[in-house]
Amino acid sequence: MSVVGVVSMKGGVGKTSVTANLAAALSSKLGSDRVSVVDLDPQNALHWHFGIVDSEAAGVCQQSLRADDWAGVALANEFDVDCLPYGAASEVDREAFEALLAAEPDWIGRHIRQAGLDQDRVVLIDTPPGSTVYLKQVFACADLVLIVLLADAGSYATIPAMESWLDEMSSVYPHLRSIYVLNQVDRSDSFNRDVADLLQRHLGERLAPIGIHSDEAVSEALAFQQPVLAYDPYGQASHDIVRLAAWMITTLNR
Amino acid sequence: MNPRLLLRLWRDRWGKSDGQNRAIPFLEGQLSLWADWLTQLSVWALPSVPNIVGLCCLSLSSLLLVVQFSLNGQIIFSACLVCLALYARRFAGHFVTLLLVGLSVAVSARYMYWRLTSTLVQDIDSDLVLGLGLCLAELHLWLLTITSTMQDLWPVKKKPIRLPREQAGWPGVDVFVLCDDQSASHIRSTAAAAQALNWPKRILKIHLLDSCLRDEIKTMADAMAISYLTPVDYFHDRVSLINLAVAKTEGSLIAIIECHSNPEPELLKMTVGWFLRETNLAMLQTPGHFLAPAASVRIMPIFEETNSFSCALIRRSMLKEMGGVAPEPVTRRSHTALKLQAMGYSTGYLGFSAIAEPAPELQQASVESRWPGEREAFLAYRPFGDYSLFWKLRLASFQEELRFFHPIPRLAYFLAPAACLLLDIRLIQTSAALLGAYALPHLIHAHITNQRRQKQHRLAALTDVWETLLAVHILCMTAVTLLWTELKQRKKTWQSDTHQRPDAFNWKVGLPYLMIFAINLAALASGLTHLLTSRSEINEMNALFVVWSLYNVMILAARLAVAEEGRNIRLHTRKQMHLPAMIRLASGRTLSCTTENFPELALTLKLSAPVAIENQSTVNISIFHNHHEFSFPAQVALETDLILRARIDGPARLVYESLALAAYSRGQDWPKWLPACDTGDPLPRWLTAALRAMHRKAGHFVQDFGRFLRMQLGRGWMQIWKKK
Repeated sequence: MSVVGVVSMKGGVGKTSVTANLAAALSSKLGSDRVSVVDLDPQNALHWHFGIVDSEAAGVCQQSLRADDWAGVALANEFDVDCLPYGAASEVDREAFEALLAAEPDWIGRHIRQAGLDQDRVVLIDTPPGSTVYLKQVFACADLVLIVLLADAGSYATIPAMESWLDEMSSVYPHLRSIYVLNQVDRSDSFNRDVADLLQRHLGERLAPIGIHSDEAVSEALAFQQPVLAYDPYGQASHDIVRLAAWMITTLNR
Repeated sequence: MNPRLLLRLWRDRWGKSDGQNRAIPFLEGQLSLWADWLTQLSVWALPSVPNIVGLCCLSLSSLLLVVQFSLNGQIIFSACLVCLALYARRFAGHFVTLLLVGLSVAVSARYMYWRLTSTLVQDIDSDLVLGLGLCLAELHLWLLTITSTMQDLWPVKKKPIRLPREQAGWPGVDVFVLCDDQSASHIRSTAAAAQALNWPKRILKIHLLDSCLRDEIKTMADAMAISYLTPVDYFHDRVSLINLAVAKTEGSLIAIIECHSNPEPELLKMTVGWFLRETNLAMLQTPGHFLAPAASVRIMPIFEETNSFSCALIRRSMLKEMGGVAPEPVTRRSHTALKLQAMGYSTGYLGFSAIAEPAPELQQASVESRWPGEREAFLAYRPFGDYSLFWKLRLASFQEELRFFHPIPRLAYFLAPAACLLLDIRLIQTSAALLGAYALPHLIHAHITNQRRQKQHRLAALTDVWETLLAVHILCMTAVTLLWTELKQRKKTWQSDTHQRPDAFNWKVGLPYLMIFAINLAALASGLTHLLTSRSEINEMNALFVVWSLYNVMILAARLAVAEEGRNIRLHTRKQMHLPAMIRLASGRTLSCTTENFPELALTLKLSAPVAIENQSTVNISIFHNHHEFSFPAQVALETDLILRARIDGPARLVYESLALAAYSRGQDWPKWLPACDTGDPLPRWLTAALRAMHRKAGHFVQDFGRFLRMQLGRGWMQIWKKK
């Protein structure tokens, strides 16, 4: 089992979309019943990408408070990805859940292990932006952390904070690998191009060789409640995500 | 079925890997070390030692030439030499090459001496005349091999010279791009490459030289801000075109580039230094390399000294003094070089590849049409009488003259076995075993040396097929040329025959060979029936001639297969790249696609899915190359559902062209990428593997047995010791 965390220091970089689209691409590459996604973002938006509109179902948050396992949380869908939504939780529930997580740093990891998943399953975890208790939980249980960036000034400014956080974490979890992924690349825009080049120089090997191009199809796909791979399979964004998924599989196997 | 396919099937059959993998680099082994040690001995510095050693070697080899062995003696002797050559040829180094050449020359000379002294008929009759003819044909081939080997032995390896730091002293360069009726897009890419030459822009002038005024080229030249030179009246050949351009320009150096090639950006930086240092240097030439190396490089002259040029730099003052580019012969460069040398100026050759050329198929036609012309140059011009050329050039001219008559001996080889088997003429008066003992080592050594010399440039078998193919074709031209030149001085201009290049070979060209093929088949049949039916003892020589004619039939069959092959049509002179690309529509949606004809300005993209695009709308195109993305706007039009044509204009064109240059540039070390050399194993791999395994097993056995013996002996000694 491989656990992949998708994180960022700054909001609005397309983290949830990247998680959902990558999960769909991995599932189409690996076959059915191989990919799960866990939404740890209180915005509770991940399940929209898979066309799940059942808002009554209890999510990860409530189920964790109610019982000590996540049985029955996973929602199946037509894209062959088991989706564990955060759930429509009240403010009280959320605070209680976060207190629970703060008390035990490996709480999420323990639950994923307890869920009795296959040896060859890939679990992707979506997190809220910034340094939160969820981020700590992800670092405790993940094999690979994808740090999503935009080629803009805002993302560039968050890199020092991310680096110091990574330094801290790598002392605790030395085997953890972290890779930056550039999202919404557009080289016809000169500013975007310059920042992308700067990031490339600055991060070097630690930037994934494949960036995801900016593509209207990604936002349109969400409106149609589909991963972009299903909505526009021939677009450049789909192309990039498929290649990124293939690259991720080789990275995880290495 | 063509020879290349045959060769590939054969390689598959014997488990030989195809392509680059089959190149085995030469070894740096004990032999190389010995050679180094031998050449660096301090003895050589003593006076007259090299002369004495040389004399000794010469007398020894002349002894080798005349000494006669019995059959067994000859077999053992030549087997030793062949084994030595087979062992030595795997090693790197000039010394080993010399050794192989020396062996080959000695063995061949021995064979020729034996042929001339002991195999000819004693009585004077028709047999003697014909036998002597065959002997002369062999002598001709031998001389040709020796001279071409001598020519290639010491290639002059000159290195580029650094330019002075101040650009003020750098000479102005006029680049002449010869258009040759090529299409605008070809001219454009060559001109763009010429513009990208790494040289100060104020002293670099590009000129397009076209034989007649074409409006599209004119507008293109204006757009690129380069000059376009055409003669006022029509029917100008390239010589007068160049001479016209020489009169109209004033840079102190002239670089002449043909339109179908791409100069490397560093061309001038690498070459001009020589002009600054050697004030007597009038002309400098560089070789070309192919963008797509193929087996058909076979016919191109080997890239050694003064053989193949793709770019020539000439000093204007000296060219003017000479009165312009030499107009008489069909080849301009070698002839111009000869004239310049006769005037006391030097010419040079830099052995790095400065020009990227299209695949060789395209050039074959022009090479073929040029061949007889070159010979003509030497006949018409008679460099022997007119000029005091130094010995290397004399050697070259001698070789050229020999080559001129090459087709005749080749035909003699094809008809010799037929003459023996059908007409019962005794061409060679000896036993088959003795002939084999002399001729086989001669052939094996020649093959080994040829492979060493030609390395990656040719495939031995293909050369044979190809030269056979050309023999009759050239023979006719040769005869005509010979007569014509003797009758009157021809004023045919060189390379004006671009319109009437010979097409791919067809049955009409193949017809004479069909006849020779039939004769050989008949000879084969008669020889075989004779061998099978005759009750008396088998004539060994007849058997040998049957084998010979079988070989002829095989070569001729391959040749006829080539003649039958369809015409080789190429629409593009440059390789077309399929690079991943992306289209960004105005709506922000994207579409991934691939380029169909990358360096062309009218770019064609193959889409992965149909898309609705209005004609002439502007989109953004990205092309991916080596993890880099290049993005530029372009106007597009849908051709079919999945094919999109894009036009790139304005500033985007600069980005596009620099990308094309980057994608196609090879750098100076290009030849090193090629397979270093093909030692061409004569044995199939399973056999060599088995032999190697056996060798290893035997080694282990000897080792183990030795250890066992030592142990036993040791034990025995211990017991004896204890007893004592």
